[in-house]
Amino acid sequence: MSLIGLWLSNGMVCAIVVFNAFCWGRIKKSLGQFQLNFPFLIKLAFNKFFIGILALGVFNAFVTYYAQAILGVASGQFFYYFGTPVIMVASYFYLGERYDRAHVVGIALILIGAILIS
Amino acid sequence: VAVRNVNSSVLKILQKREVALWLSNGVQCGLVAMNTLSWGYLIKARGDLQLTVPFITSFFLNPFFWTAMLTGFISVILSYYAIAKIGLAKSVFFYHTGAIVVILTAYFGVGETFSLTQILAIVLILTGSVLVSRKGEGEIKK
Repeated sequence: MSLIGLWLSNGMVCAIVVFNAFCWGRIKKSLGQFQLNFPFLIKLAFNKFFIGILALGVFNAFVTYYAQAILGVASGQFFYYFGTPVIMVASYFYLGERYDRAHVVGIALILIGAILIS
Repeated sequence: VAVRNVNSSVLKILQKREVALWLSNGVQCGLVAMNTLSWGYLIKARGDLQLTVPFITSFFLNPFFWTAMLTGFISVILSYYAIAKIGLAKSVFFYHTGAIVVILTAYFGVGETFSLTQILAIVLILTGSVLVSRKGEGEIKK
């Protein structure tokens, strides 16, 4: 049961990661490159996509807590590295990104690692 | 190849004397450590996740939850600063120092122990993430 729950939570985190990437892309389009100054941070704080990121962040924390409580803090965090290959596979199909052999080996290693850790 | 790429990135950053960048990386490592500690203490205090109103209320009212959220949020902002300053490919080095900090803090700060399978899995995931985050030949098809 906990194994199904773990992978279900991983799926949710992957969806959140994809939505986060989309929101950061939209923020970059509307506000430009990230700057560490007060006017930029104020603009960022009132951006609707940034508010969306914050709201999802709280939900994400709740979901990741589930895995961290079961697997431990460190292992729980590494379990969610699974999101990286998911984004890469999505980029391959939807953005047409190409990957070399080393990328494919990397994706395979992350997948094996996530399965082992769960 | 991945290790050589990371090494050359570190050398280039050192050559540019990006003091602010290294300072932000140091702060980020501290934040990651605080974040790991906060999650660890929160889990020790609250135990497994329960979908009940008293649990959710106590979860959100726990100061460790807010420390974890705040440190995680500032850490993300700093990582975007690093990406804006030196680009995504080179900032990978900073991303992975955070992963090492998580392991060390969990072991020494929270008192977590790792089984051989977990260690193997973490090594595989870290190696894999170094490989996927290198620049390589990734390009957008026309």
